[in-house]
Order: sequence, then C-alpha cells, then structure tokens
Amino acid sequence: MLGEVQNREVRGHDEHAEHVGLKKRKVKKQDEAGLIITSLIDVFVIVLTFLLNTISAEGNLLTSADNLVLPMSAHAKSPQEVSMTIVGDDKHITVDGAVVAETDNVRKQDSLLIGSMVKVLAKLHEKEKKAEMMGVIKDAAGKVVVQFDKNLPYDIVTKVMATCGYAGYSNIKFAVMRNNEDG
Amino acid sequence: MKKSRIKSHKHRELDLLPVMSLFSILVTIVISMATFEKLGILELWLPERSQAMTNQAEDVDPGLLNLTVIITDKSITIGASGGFQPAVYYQEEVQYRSRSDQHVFRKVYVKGEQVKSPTDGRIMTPYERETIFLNAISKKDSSDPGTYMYAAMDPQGEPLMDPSGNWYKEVPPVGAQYRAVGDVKMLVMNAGTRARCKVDKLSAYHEVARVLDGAHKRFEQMSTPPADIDDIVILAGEDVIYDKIIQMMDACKAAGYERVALSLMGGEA
Repeated sequence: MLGEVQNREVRGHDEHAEHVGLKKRKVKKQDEAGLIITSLIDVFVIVLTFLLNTISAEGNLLTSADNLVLPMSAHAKSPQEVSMTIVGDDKHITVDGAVVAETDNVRKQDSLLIGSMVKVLAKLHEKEKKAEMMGVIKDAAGKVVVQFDKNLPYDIVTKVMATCGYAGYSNIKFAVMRNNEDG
Repeated sequence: MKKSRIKSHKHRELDLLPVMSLFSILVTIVISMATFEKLGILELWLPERSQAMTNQAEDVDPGLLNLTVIITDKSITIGASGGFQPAVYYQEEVQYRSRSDQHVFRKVYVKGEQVKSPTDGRIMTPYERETIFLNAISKKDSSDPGTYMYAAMDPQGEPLMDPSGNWYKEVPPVGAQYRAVGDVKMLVMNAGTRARCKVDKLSAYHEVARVLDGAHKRFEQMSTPPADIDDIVILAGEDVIYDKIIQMMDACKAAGYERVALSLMGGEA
C-alpha cells in the first residue's frame, strides 16, 4: 500500500517536470516595489498638528514635584516666573529642593511659624534684596509658588503660608493641575 | 520608414522619503519638548497687614459685605455681615487608590474610622485618597439623616440651572434655557446636548457656588454695590484637607469672587 502511494508520487513529479519543460518560462520584468508613504505622511501631519496644538509655547515655568499629587482646579491661570518654589508632601517640606522640615514635626508643633524654614527664607530674601540693589533682578517681589499634596491637612498649609509671610514672601500662589483649557 | 518611437511616459511619483525623514525628526523633537500635564497657579488674595491686624469692632466698615465660607467636617456655611445662610450639609465619599496593587475603591468617610484595602486588608494612609466627593444632602437640621440632592448635569459634569437660579432636577427639554454656575448668558438646550446630559448626585461645592453666584449677581445689581463685592474668605479648621480648600476656591472663583483669602479657624492665615 505504502509502495503504491510512493510510486504515484514519483509519477506525479515526473509529469510536472515535463509540463514545466514544455512551456516557455515567462518571467515578467517587474517594476521595483516601492513603499507607498503618502498615507504615512498624512498620519505624521495629523500627529504633528495635534502635538503643536497641545504643547505650550511658553515652555516649562513650573514643574511638578515628585511624590505628591496636586489638586485639580478649573480656574487656574498659566504659571508665571517666580523666585522660589516650596514643596510639601507627606514626608518633608522643601524650599527650592532643600529639605527644611519634616511634615510630621510641623503638624505636631503649636507655633504657627516653622523655625528652620524662617531662617532659610530670611537668607533667601536677603539675597534677593541684594540682587535687586545690584540691579541683577528687577524687583524682589517675594513671589513664591507652593506645591502641596492634595491630602495634606490645612494646618500644614497655614503654617507654611504664615512662615512665608513672616519672612517677606507675601505673594503666595498655589500650584495645581489645570483641568481647564483657558487661563 | 522609421518606426515612430513614442515613448510611453510613466506616471512619476514624488519622492516623499526626505519629507518622511523630516517629519520623523520633527515629531521626535516636538514629543521631547511636550508637557502633557498642565500645571497652573491659583492666586491667593492676602489682605493688607493693617487690615488683617485690626481686630477692633469699631474699625469694621458696616457697608462691607465680609463674605465668608466656613468649612466644617459635615457642612459648609456661608456667612456675611448680615448673618448666615442655611448650611449646606454633605456626605464625604472617598475614592482610594491602593499604592500596593493600584486597586481603586470608594468608601463613605466616617471620622476616626480606619479604612482597610479590600484586596490585602492593609490600612490605607490618608495619602492614598485619590478623589474626595462631597455629596450634597438636603436635611432640615443636623439630626436629620437627609437625602441626596440630584441635578441635571451637562456633558462636562456641570449641573444646570434654570433662569430663576435653581437646579434642574431633570434634564431640561429641548428649547429650555439653562446655564451653569459662572455662565453670564443663558443657553438654549438642543437635542444633541440633551442626549448627553444626565441626572447625578449634586456636589456640595456646586450648591455653595450656586448660592454665592446668586448673591454676587444680586449685589452687582445694587445701585451702590459693596466695596468688597469680589472678596471672599474661606474659613476652615486645621484638619480640613487641602484639596477641599482648593475646590472651594474654585467654586468661589466660578461664582465671580476673584479675590479669595484663607483663614484658619481660631487664627489668621
């Protein structure tokens, strides 16, 4: 049985070989297959238009701190140039990246002013005033942006604000995530 | 005779490869420059030192409005020189996102209660609160458990008011006039918008914003509006979460109060 099948297969191969040999091989001279990139260009144009619409031309005046979630706001304005950024998360309070106090300790203290922070802010304000006198900066307006985790208690917020005001930084703004298109 | 050799001109395509390379470079540069999170700032109004330091009753101008919003753990009350509005009661519902397994769940806030993750039984920290919903409750007094307040919401989730300044309890019919808090003009409902509107639980922030919006419009129409018509103070206890303060600032700004000051219960901030 197996031998019959094998014979049939061999015969079939021979017949095929004869058939190919009789016919002239007609190999068409094909053009070089080119990639159609017109549709891809369309995609790129759409992506580029979308991206140009999305990004802001003013650049990054404010960057979100790590380890905290900022609250959402529908009435926030575009960030402006500020002299200093204060960040308050669940562990630390930092001034321009330098840790000045532990959040837990600030929560426990009765005083409205954070002692270690007052010293740092006073030094920075002095520097700013000197820079203003020397004409390096236009005016020492004492602008400060505070970034607080949305779950921080209001107690921490008021203590940081009071400390800022005491040290001469009375122009306080809150950093938020914008969920509005305008502003 | 010579055979006329008419060359068949093939349709020649524009070589778009260089354009493609240009686009690739442009897209890469733009993506690297893009900032997808939109950060903004909320401006805070701080009263002048002299104004803040005066606590004597005789220095207070009787013509001033002195509008204040008081946030407590169960209600929000609006007060002014003339007295207080009825309190807006709320039920606090917290959406948690577990830091260990990113599991999201909601829980009604009960003061002092420890919230455990339903997946691993771990006690959730306050910093795992993702969203806090303040569902407005209609009740007669503090002992009444009350019922949720509902309102028709537009596709953006903003509740809709009728021309008299009350919430639409059902989605307004086509042709009806409506507006959201802060809108100057009334809009007319069309079939497309109506199909995307829905009735949902009303937020206490929206309810406060509606009351403030009505008050602001009434004061604007007065012959001599108060000097502090755009000023408002948010008064809160030290345990109130910062997010609530920001949401309340948003509600005040939506109602037309541009100068928002903060104050701590029992002291000035």
